Amino acid sequence: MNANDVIESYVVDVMRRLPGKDRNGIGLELRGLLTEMLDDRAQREGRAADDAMVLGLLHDFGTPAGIAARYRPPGLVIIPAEQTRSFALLSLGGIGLQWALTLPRVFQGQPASAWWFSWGLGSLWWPGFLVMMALVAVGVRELGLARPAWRPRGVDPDRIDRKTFGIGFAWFVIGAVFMTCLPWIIGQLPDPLPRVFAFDPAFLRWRAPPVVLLWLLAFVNLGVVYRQGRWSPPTRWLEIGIHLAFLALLAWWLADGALFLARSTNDGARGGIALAALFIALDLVLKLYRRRTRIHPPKIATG
Amino acid sequence: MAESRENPTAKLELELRRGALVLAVLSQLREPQYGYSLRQALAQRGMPIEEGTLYPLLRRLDGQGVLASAWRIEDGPPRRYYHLNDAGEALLAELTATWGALVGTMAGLLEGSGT
Repeated sequence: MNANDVIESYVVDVMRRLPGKDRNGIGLELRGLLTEMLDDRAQREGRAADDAMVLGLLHDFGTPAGIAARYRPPGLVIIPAEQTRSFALLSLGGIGLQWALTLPRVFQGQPASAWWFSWGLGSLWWPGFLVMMALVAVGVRELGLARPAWRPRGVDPDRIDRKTFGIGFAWFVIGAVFMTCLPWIIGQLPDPLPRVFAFDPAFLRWRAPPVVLLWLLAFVNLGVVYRQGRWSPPTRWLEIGIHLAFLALLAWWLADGALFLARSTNDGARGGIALAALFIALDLVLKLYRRRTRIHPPKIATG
Repeated sequence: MAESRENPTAKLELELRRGALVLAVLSQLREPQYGYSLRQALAQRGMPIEEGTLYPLLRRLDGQGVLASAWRIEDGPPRRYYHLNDAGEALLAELTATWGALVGTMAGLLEGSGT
């Protein structure tokens, strides 16, 4: 194989990676360029071009993939740099959550290989799903179907809209009253519902009452916010404290005994409570993260 | 992600030169040139540029309609010659004016920083 054949083969390698309409033009130009570079090098070194010289030239010039990439316009960014970290956290968090929920089956006797080839590998659907969603978002942006709707906020973020806040607050009170009256309401339902939804007496006597106290505390805190028309540092911190207490209470409910006498009802309720605990935990993380990114005064140098 | 702090000068110099690349290339294309001769002309005037950067840039400028190109044979193999068309001349004039203003501004800034 002579030097020209080596150059020809390299150029064809580059051309394979280029769009069809540009291939020939770029290939011809590239071959001419490399031939002239080789002639120059041979002249500088005062000897005829040989295999080592042409291979050295191509090595210095770059890989076919790298050269072809330079001829292409910049590609679409699927996950922008500012979202890479949250994408990684969301992906790993989703996989971690699925593993945390399914891995205990291995400790209950399921073979580890069976878990790995079902939920272990199967949980990778989540990052794939996120990438697909990111691709859809890129498509929507590129087609101009959605424009960024961001506007600077004219009011401080601690201020509340009393009407919306009041409606939310009212629904919270109605829900809490309903849950408090649930044992009595179930007793009034026709058979077999009272048997299906019968609470565990120990749960009602010991583990359920603290929730009423937490709801009352939350009502007082939200009432103060409603009256002041805005959140303040004490009401924010109290809300975080109440959420932590709710998390601890829900964990106690999940860990210690049954909530309902019927097993299927109990399993369903425990699933619902686990989900509620997850939402509260996520809300807490979000609130604490937002607090962390506040502007703090600088450290002024002295002396 | 934290950027590498190793030898930032070389990288920053490269960025600085990259900004002037289009203007440098356009300035040498008032007369027809093929890629390799253009590279040598730029290198002789103190503006070396990698072939892997120059050729894609020429094609991009050609695609943007500021260069005219044609294959010719002149004492050697067939070569693609590029030169400025009317749009390219206008772009060169605009970029030259911008460059002049930028040089003036930078000179003022750097002079100010030295006092």
